[in-house]
Amino acid sequence: MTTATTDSAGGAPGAEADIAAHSFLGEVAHRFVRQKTALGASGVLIILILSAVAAPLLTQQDPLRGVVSQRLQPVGTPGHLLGTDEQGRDVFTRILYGGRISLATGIIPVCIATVLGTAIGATAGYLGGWVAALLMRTMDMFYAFPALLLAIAISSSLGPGIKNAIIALSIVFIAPISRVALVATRQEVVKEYVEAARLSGASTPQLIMQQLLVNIFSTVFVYAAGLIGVSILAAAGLSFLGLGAKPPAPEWGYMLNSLRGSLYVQPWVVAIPGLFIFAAAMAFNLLSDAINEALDIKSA
Amino acid sequence: MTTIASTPTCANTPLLRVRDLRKAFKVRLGFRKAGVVSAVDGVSFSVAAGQTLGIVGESGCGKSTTARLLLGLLDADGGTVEFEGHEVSWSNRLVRQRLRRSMQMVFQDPYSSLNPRMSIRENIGFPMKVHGYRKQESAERVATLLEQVGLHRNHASYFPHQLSGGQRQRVNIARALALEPKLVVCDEAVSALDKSIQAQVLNLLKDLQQQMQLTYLFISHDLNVVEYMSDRVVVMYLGQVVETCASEELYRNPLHPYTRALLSAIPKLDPDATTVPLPLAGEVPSPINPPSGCRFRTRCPHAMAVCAAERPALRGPAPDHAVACYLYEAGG
Amino acid sequence: MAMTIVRRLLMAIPTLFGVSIVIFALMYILPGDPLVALLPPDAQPKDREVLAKQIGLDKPAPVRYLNWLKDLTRGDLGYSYTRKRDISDLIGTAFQNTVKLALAAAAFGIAVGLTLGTLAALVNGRWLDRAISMVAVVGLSVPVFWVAILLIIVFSANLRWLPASGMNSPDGGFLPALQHMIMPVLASSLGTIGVTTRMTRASLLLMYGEDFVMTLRAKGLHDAQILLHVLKNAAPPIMTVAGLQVGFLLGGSVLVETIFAWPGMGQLIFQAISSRDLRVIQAAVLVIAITFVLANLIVDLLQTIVNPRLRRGV
Repeated sequence: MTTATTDSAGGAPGAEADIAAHSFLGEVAHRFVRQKTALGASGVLIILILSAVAAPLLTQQDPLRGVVSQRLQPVGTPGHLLGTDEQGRDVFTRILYGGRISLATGIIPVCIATVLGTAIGATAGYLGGWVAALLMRTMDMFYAFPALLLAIAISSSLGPGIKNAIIALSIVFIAPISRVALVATRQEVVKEYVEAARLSGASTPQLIMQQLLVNIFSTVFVYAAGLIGVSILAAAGLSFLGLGAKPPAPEWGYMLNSLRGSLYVQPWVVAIPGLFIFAAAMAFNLLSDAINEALDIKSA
Repeated sequence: MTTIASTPTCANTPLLRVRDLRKAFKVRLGFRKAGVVSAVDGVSFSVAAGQTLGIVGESGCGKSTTARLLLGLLDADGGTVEFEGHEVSWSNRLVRQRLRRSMQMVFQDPYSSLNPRMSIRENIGFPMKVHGYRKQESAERVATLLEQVGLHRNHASYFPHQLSGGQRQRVNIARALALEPKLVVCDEAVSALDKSIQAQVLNLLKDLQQQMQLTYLFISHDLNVVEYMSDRVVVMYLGQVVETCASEELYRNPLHPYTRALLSAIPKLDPDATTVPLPLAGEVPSPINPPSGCRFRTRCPHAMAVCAAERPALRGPAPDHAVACYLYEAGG
Repeated sequence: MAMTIVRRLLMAIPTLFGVSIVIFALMYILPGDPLVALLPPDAQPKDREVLAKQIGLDKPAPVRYLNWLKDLTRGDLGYSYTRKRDISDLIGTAFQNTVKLALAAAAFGIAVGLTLGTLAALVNGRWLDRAISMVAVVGLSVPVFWVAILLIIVFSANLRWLPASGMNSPDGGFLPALQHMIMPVLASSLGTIGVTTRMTRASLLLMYGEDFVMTLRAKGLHDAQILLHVLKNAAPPIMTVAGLQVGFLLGGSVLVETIFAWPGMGQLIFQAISSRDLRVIQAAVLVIAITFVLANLIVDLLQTIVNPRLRRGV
């Protein structure tokens, strides 16, 4: 932390370079990289994401078609690093391509829900009164459902498919995020800089977007980051139940379900997709914990 | 209805004239009960251009609410505000935009009155950004303002948590001056600062007033500070104006029993002066059910029967010294 | 204090209405022909007419909602064309089985979570604390259906110690019932263990930093006595989390019951998903949601008893 200069006449702070304004973000990043679990989790995530994106480069085989005569080969079979599934498809290939779907259906709903949920919560927190009551009562209606069940109810009404699963999960996550945004906004709204901004002539949307969002961002971001792990598990769960990715898509949750019948034949191959779901969720959870730790500075 | 003591020196229209301002808040008292807090009840005063009007009173007397009413941060229940001779109507958006440039405020808490996630430049520049200044213009003006308030132009890249309380308050002042306002309300602007810093900031305010021909509305609970800064003073109690006069007059010849009690409570540095504090019985009554008639009567050593019956009007024994007290009613 | 209880009960009512509105909206307000969604593909035109009249498609939405609510209060949850039974029958037994599993998992998970969390708080900073915290994160991150499969692989396929499916053996009995329960309960409880451990640890650490603990120490209390006091104070947030876990478990039941062929609501929903029987899905979700609201209500009320600060006012 820089020491404050003495008060008399402000004191020339010297060249702008040597007492650079420490941006808040800079300090957070510094604390973040000091944690070993953070680095490990980030590493795992980067590997998962990169391998999913670079799937065509890493494997030549077709994720959707297999040689039935080669079904259920064990792990380590030459040519099939992770074995083959019940239709003879290479599991390694399906895992790589499946990563695209599983990771996307985990991350995208949280992003959508963050944007919408923050808008709702911040507006409700700033405006108060009947607007807030209306918005939050609506959110409460969704809040009363266990997340997975609501996702099941919505996506079964919409029909199977990745797009519908993403819509369903987004709806599920809007309510909790809006509540976090509401609480954070209410804490900020009583501070004098908000009044000062009103006094400067800012309109309500201008005020919320330019002054308020910056201050509630870290709270909402941390919460949303924690939700990604839940979202990945929920998305995999939906596919497992037949509500997400449609066969023969190589989504990890769906793979777990389709391999389930071969449990007694080739148990360890069956377990592989679940391992990857676990790794992704764990990495995101550890990451979100580390961000939480890093943000815990008393700055003002 | 109250009559307003006329300002003696200025023959022109006062810059700001407030008439009979009222504001009441509804409060939840329990499951189904609601109460009404009469925060500002018929407040009137005026300020001449270039002058400083001090508003003094205990916490909860309605001074901050009055400030927010005339700045348009709260909607008034009744009364009028005239700025430069024209009545102010905050509901008209164009009027609002124009007025925001003319009336600004310096806030009390140097810590929460600046956006912690924005740089000093962004904080001071925000009013300009809202009013459409270009980035270059705004940055230059920020640098000028920083120097005017006694900081260095390089401070613009700093963040609030890197400055001390006094420095932040200077930034507050810079922000208030960004749009070149005519009227600046200082709401307890130095109350959160250390005594030694207070003096510096007060002097800064005085210098700026001279340089820029500003008019101040200086709100404080600290009588010494108010005396130092103000030309005229308004004393408020429980939402009402009880006395108004020139600053020296207030300290030389306080009339209202409340004012006298306040003044006698100021600690003096002179060891030989023995103060006999005038006792103020009891505590400030709840603003939810204020006493009828004169609100001060429950603590006033001179309370009479008429004090409970009807509220005394604010009128003067002298042309520029008005009191709301039956002790000074002509013929009473 | 009775007032607080009454007020809490009253506050639950709008929530219950809200839940019913959401389900109703999902059923009837989505685009597309609702009849298509509600009937099996081989339905006769006669069935369509009967159903259309039953739903009252010609009437405006609010009227349909009220009719639907009326049916609900009479216990009529509709009819399943795929299973050829009243849905309330289907749900009746299934619900009990799910509750059994959920309560067992909740009890086990919370007990383990409290123990681990308290332990972690007491040895704060040392390797055991970090190990326990890692275990908690694992519990949170692990997909419940994967753990179930792993457990089956290890304990059923390989070791043959435990049965892989069903609620009981054909002959019945207490021990077989217990054997059938072990793996499902274990799999379901991991999430609860994770959440409860973290919550307990965080709560206790917060409490230990409070001034009143210093006062207790100054008074000469032993560590064990202090722990008791701290636990009492830390109880409210832990209880809230425990209440929410019930919801999480009821939701996760779909996954666990499917794998273990446990005849509960979860399996009911899974089968309904496969057979596209929307009515069953929605009725089951409705019942579980209502249970969730009531469970949280109970936790809320318990909180007012345990936490004297909540007794006055709202």
